Amino acid sequence: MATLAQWKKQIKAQNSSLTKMVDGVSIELTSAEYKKTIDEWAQSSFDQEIAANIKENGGKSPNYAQYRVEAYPSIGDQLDMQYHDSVNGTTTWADAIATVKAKYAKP
Amino acid sequence: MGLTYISTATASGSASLDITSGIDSTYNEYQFHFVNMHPATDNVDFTFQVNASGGSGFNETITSTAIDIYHNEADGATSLGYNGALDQGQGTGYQKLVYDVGADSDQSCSGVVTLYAPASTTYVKHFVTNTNSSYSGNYTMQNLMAGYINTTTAIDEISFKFDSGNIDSGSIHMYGVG
Repeated sequence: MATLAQWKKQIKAQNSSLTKMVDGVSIELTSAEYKKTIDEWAQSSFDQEIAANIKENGGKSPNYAQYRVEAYPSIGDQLDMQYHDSVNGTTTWADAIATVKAKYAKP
Repeated sequence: MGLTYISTATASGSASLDITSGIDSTYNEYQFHFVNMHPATDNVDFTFQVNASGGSGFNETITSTAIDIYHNEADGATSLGYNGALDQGQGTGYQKLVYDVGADSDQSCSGVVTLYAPASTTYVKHFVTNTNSSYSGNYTMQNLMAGYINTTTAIDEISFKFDSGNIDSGSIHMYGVG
């Protein structure tokens, strides 16, 4: 994963100058606006890369609840698991839920 | 009650699209229709903020709610739920309208932001948004956001941008309702 400084360097290299459209007129960003924008874009890319890594590999995240919602089996599948668990005495459903909870941990 | 066209702002490799004229007391409701906002960078969020009259910068205080609804092209994933990653509680950042928009050549986001009574000096400024996007994971993603800008100062400027990278292309049409 790239560091924040590496993201800044890369985004600067890709955008030697930036413009904004104000009331239909394209205006070059001032040096202060340019620096602020590069900083924001780099921070966003950096945060996104961390989030993508956690989503893929698991870990602690303030967004753990959202990741869990997306990772849990569908309600239909969970009901099917619970039915088979009750008939067979297995723990498929609890295991599936525990796996997701363990992967996306509360910070 | 009907829509009265006011202006169009078109992006062309722009860091932001700012509208700094035409938002006043003429109408009690303004709508901003953004059409096919295409990001230069994959997997980014489309956002907006406002500036109060006489203020400096797009950084007003916002409290908002966020719901997303999605369905993927593979027909295997659907969801409807509150998304706490998109809302703000007295935040001053740009309010997310749509998240994780894809940058493939056929991907973009479109929708409407409705801003109520921006010229009021009595009430906070309510907004409601309804958008759809081509989510980067090949989903259709509808986002419903609402909230208020917690100021009793009139709002007269609005800014739209992606949270990273330029707006490659797209247009925003401003209408007055009345």
